Amino acid sequence: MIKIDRNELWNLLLQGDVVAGELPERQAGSPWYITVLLAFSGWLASLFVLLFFGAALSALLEIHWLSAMIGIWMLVPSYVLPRLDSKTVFLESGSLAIGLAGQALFYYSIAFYFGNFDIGTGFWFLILITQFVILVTIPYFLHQMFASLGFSAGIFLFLGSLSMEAFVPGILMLCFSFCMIYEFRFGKYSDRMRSGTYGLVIAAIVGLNMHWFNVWNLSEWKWWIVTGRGFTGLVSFAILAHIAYHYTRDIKNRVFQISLLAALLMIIITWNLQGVLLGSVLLALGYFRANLLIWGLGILSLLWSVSFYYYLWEVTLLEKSIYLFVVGVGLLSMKWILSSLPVFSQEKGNA
Amino acid sequence: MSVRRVFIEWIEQGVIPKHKLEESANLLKVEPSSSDWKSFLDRIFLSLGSLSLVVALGFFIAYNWQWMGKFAKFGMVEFAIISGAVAYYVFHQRDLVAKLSLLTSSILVGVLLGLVGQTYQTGADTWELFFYWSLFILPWTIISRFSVLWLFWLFLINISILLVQDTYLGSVLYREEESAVLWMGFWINTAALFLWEFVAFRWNVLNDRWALRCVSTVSGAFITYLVCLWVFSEEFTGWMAFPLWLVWSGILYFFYWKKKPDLYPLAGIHLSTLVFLVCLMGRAMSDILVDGGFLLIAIVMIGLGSASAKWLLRIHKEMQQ
Repeated sequence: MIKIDRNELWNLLLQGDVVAGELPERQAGSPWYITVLLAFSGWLASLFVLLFFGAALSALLEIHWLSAMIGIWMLVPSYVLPRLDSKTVFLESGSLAIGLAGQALFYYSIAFYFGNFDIGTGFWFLILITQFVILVTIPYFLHQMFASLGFSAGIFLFLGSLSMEAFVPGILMLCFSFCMIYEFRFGKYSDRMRSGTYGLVIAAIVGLNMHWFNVWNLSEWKWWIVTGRGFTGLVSFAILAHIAYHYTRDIKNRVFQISLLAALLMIIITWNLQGVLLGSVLLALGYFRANLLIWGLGILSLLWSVSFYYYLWEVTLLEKSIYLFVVGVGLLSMKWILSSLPVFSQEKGNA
Repeated sequence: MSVRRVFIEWIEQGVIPKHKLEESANLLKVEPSSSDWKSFLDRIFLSLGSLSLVVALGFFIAYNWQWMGKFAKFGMVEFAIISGAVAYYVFHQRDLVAKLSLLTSSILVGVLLGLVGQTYQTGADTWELFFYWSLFILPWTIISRFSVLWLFWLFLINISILLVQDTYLGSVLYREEESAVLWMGFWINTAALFLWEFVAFRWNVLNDRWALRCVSTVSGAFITYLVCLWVFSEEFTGWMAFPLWLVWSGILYFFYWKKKPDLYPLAGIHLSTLVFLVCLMGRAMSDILVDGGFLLIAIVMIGLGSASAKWLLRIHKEMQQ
């Protein structure tokens, strides 16, 4: 790993007249696996909190409107505790566990209150909205990630109830690409963009590769499935075009045009394998933002998608073989075309 | 710590004015340059293109096309395997191309073995296919010095272990069956981890941290599963599970804290301990696991998780200095 000299980086900013003064004190960041450890312990603790409610306060759970109110009140510590100056990791983790348990209690009670669990589109829309509100208001990174996952689930369930789940991958891609591309523009709120990104990306990878978005029904050419896939392709194209434009800044630039063509080719050849398209977009975005975690998730999506493709029964192995052969030749052709282009010698913005 | 991480840190501290964020990103070269992109895309297209072609061939053979004679099918696969090996020799100066060639040939060896079983109806068990596959590609794996291929090789070994379980002892989900296979999985992956670290240290090859982390994760998963099963049924796992888990945790903790600092395995050991203690508490309180027992476990979990995170962040700070 290359050792980064913070002094050198600070001097670059000083010379560019961007900052002034002394090098700020170093803040110890938290690697992603420590975040995973905290997320796991918080999530598991929330399950035990729920079990406690179920065991000790079962009579209370039968008064659905009251238990729903208690569920909402349990979110208050999630908002307050991480904002305290004296906050500790224990308080933050505790607020996560209580908050998650409160949300589960709220949704469970609402589901019973409004129809004895005969829930419909309105309920899923409620999940979508409440999770979004939690994402933008709760100040704890992990809780925001869980809210982002909940928000994604809300989108899927809501659109699924309208038979439009095929649009979910495109919507999720739009959301997380927005968060990633404009990550740095939100200043102190950039951590919220990141927490949103990770939740949306994980939801997209799992949902797409577990065949939840109906885009694998290749034999059923219903208009909303085709349109949904087209929407995903369009969003992917926009993302890749944005990255290409970021460097060329000129739509007449030959490199930009070739990049668009390559993006279009990629979308066409991965039409039946959109998990690969998702993985490719994640690789591009991850590299663009130097985010190794997104990069790794992109590779996971690629491998998962190709592995699951074998179990897609609607398509024969011969068709799959031909398709993958075309994909392989297409990718190697793009490599050959790339190596015969002149090196990108101009940085963005320069003529 | 990466440039991106430092940049994000300064943004969050508010030391970079909001209207100068893009300019700062340019100055610090947070984003890759055009030539970086070219190099990146070149490798990605090559890797994914090769993988796609190999999988395509595998699917093609698996289709069991009746009117294609067996010699044609064998010829196709063998030609592809030999081409990969020749490509490794021809492109040995171009590191990635050579290694990918050997990887594709190694994958195709499995396709060839599958074809043999399919054509001659050998009646071999599935675990044998994976076992012999790993055996045949071992020499290539050694000479390749390619972490991805070594992980693939270990993957084959692990699959063959699980399939042995499935063939002779029923599903791995049934705890009443022998735990021998779980132990086998633990020993093989732990031995692989120790050997890999030794080779990396001694000859400075295969030093990819991400690959070693993958192996340590699998080793940790096996021993954590065993020790959790031990909590609920010592007869199933044998008395050794707990002391061995202690020894494994101790050795790895010392090694990755003091000898070859790496926070990831330490975090894994903390997670393993957390899971074990929850199982232990659940078992101890199983008679009184109502009401307050659940809340107590929740509080302990939060406490342990927080304490672990705080401790690990302290070590992380030490490692960065």
